[in-house]
Amino acid sequence: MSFKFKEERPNNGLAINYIEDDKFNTEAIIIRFITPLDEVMPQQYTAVVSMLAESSAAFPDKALMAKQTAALYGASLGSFSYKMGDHLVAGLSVSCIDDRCTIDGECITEKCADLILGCIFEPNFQDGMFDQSCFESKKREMIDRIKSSADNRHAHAIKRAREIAFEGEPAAEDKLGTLEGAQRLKNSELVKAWRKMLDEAFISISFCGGGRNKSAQRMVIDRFNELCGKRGFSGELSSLNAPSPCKSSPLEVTESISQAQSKLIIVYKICGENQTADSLACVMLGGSAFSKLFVNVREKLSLCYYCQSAIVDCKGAMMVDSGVAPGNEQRARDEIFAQLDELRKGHFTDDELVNAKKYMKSSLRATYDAAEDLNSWYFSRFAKGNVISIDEQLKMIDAITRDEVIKSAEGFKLDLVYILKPQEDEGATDE
Amino acid sequence: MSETTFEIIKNERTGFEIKKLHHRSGLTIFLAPMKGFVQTTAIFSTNYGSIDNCFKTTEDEDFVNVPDGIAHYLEHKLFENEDCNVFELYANTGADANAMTGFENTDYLFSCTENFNESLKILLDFVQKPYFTQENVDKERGIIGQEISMTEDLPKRRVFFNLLGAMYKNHPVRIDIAGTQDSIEKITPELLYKCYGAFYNLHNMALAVAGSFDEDEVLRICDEHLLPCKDMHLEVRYPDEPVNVASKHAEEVFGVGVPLFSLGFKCKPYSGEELLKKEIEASILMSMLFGKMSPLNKLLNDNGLVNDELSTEVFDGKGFFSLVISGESEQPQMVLDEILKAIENAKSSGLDREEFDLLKKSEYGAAVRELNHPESCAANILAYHFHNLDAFASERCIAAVTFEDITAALDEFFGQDNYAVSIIR
Repeated sequence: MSFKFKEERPNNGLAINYIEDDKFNTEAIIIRFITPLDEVMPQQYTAVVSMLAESSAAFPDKALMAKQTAALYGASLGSFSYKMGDHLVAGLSVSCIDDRCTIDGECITEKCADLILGCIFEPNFQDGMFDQSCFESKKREMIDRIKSSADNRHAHAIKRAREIAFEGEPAAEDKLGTLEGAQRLKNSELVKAWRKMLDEAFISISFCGGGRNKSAQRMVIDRFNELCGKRGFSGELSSLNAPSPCKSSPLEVTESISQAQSKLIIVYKICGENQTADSLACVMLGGSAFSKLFVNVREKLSLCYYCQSAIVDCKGAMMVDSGVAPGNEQRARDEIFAQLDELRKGHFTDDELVNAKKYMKSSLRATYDAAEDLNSWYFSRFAKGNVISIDEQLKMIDAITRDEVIKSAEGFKLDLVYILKPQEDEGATDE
Repeated sequence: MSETTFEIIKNERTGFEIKKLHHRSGLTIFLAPMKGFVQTTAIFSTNYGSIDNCFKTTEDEDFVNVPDGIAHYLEHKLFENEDCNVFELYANTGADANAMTGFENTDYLFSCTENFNESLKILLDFVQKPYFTQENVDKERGIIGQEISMTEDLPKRRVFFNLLGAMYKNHPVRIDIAGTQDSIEKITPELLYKCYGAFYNLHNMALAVAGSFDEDEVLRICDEHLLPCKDMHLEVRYPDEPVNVASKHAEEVFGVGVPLFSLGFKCKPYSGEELLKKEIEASILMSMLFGKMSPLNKLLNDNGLVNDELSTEVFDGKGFFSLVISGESEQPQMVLDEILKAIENAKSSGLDREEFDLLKKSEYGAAVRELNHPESCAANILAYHFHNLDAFASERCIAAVTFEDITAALDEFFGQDNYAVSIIR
C-alpha cells in the first residue's frame, strides 16, 4: 500500500484534498459546494447541479454528453445533493479509468477535468438562461421524483422520522423540497442559484484514485483558485456539526400507508461528546450481525429480517430501524428498549466489547481498498471538524473503555418512536 | 481426483494472474493475490440457486421436486450450527460475513483485514456442517416471512417479478428468490438435508480468494478443512419453457407516485461462451437503441413521456435470456409504443457505427473497473466460473464484438413480437 493524503486551503472558502494510492486504476474528481440549509433553497441547488451534469455549452444535450463520456471509456459524470448536519452538500463528480489502462495510452484524465469544469463554469445557456427544454425536463423530473418519494416504504419511513425528529431545524427540510415548490420553479431562479452557489458556497475539491492525473488536477485547481481569488469569501468552515436538541418528552407518531409490513424507526439524541465511544456503543447495539439487536430481536424472537442502528452524522442522533409484522410493533419496540438498557447497565461481556472493536477496525481498515470509501471517510472527518487519519481513528477505537461505552449508551436519549403501519384493511393481525 | 493440480489464468494486457486449483477434495479454488490491498475476501459458493427446484443424484431413483424458496431458506439455516450462530464465531475474528442467494448460485463470504486464516476455517467448516432441526427451521420462518414482506413493499421489485411472471410460463425464474409465504410453510429439515446433500457437494462448488493473503496458508487450510466427497453426478431439470411469452400484459395497483413499467423481450436461452457473447451484444444494442445517446431518449424527454432515461438490463442465466427496458411514466403505453417504433426504425434504417465504437469503449472501461477491489474480483471470478468461463472472458469478448454482430443481434433479439409488459400504478 502506498497511501497518501494531503489537504490544502489555498484560498478563502476553498479546501483541496488529495487521496492517492497507486494500486487504484481509476481517477476521480469530486467538487462539493457546501451551503447552510437556511440560506438556500435545497430544491433549487439539487436541480442546478443535476442540470449542470447533464449538458454544457460544449455538449449541449444529454445525447452529446453521453457520447463524450462513452468516448472517455465510460467515464462516470454525475451530480449529488445531500444534507450533512444543517448544511446542503451539492456538487458534481467525474471518474474514469486511468490513462495507463486505455487501449492506446490515450490521455483521458485531462479530458475528464475539462468536461467537469465545462459543466460547472460554462453551462448550457441560451440568452443567459438554462436551455429551456433542459429546464422543463428537469422541472418535470423533480415533480415526478417528489411524487414517487414514498414508493420505497422503508426509505419513506426514514425520511418521515427525520422530518419529525429534526422538526424546526434546517435538516428537517427534504432536499427535493415540496411539490408546490417544484411546480413553481423558474429558470431565472435557477440561474441565480447557480451564481450564488459559485459566489458564496464553501468549495471542497477531492482528487481520489491512483494519483497519476497531475495535469488534470492542475487544470481544476487553477480554475477554482481563479474563482476563489476573486469572490471575497468571508469566514471559514470548520465543521458541519449541528447537534439536534432532545425533545422535552419523547414523541410517538404512527402513520399509515398501503403496504405489507410495518416500519419501526426509533430516534435517540446523543448527549455525550465522545464520538468514537458513541459509534462503538451503536455498533454493539445494532451495527453488526452479532449485535444485541440482531441476536435478540431477529434471531431469538424472530420478529424481523433487519433491526439495525446507525449514527446520523453531524446531527448528534442515532436511529434504530426495523421492519416487523403488523401487530408486532410493541414487542419489537420493547425488546429494542430492553437491549439498550442492557448496554446502559453494562450487561455485556468483555468479548462483546473486544469483538465490536475488531469489527469496527476491520471495516475501517478496509476503507483503504476502495477509492470512493476513502473519499467518503475524509469528507466525513472534514464535516466533523476533525480531519484525522484512519490509523489515528483505529488507535482511538482501541482506547475506548467499558465505562465509556456505558456512558455513551446512557447518553442516548429517546426522542421519537415512529411507526409506519399498513392501512386498516391491509397486513396480518397479531401473531 | 487424488492430487491437487493447478493452472494459471493470465490477463495478457494487464499481467494480472489468477491461480486455478483443482483440489483433491473435488473443489475448484481460485486465488487472486492483489498487490497493495489490505483487505481479503473469500467466497465459498455453490452452483445452486432458487431456480434449481427439480433434481436427481445417484442416490435418487427419480427427479425430486422441492418448494420454492428452499435454496434461500437453506442459506439462512447454514448460519446456525449445533453449538452457536456462525456470526458469533466471526465476531471473534472481526470479519464482516454475509451470504446471498441468487437465481443460480448461493454465496457465503467474508471480508477482513486481519485473522484471515481463522475466518477461512470458519467459512469452510460451517458451510460443510449443516444442522437442521424442526425447532430451528420453524424459528427461521418468521425472519424469512418478514424478508418476503419487505420485498412486497418495493414496487420496483414487484414490477420486475410481475414481468418475469408474464414472460415465463414454467421456468422457476418467474418466482421470487425467497419464495412465497405459502411455499416456505412447506419447508422441513428433511427437505433441507435433501437439497444440501445434492448441491453442497464440493464437485458442485467453488472457492475464490482475492486480496492480501498467503497462498500456501490457504492451501494448507483447504487441505485440512475440506471434507472429500464423491461426485454424486447431480442432474438438474428445468421444465419445458414455451418460446412465446406466457402473457402479454401484467398490471397491478400499488399506489405509486408515477406508474412504473418494464418491457421484456423473451429470447432463446444460451450457455457458456455464447451466453457471454450474446449478453455483451444485447447490452451494447440496448444502449444504442434506448440509452442516453439514442434518438428515442431525446424524443421521450422532449415530449415529457419519461422523467429520466430508460434503464436496461440483460437478464440471463440457465434456461432464460431476456432484454428488459424499464422506466417511470404517466403514460406507460405511449412509451412502450415509442420503444417498439424505435426498434422498427433501427431495423429499417440501420444502426450508427460511431455509436457502436463509443459504447464498445465504454464497456471496456467497465470491465477494467470490475477487478479493482477484492470483493468484486472474487465475485466476478465465480460468476464466470459457473458458466465455464474465466474472469477475463468479458474483456476478450468485448474486444471481439463487431458492428456486424450487433446488427445481426437486432433481428435475433427483436425479430419476433415476443414481449411482455408489466405496469404498476
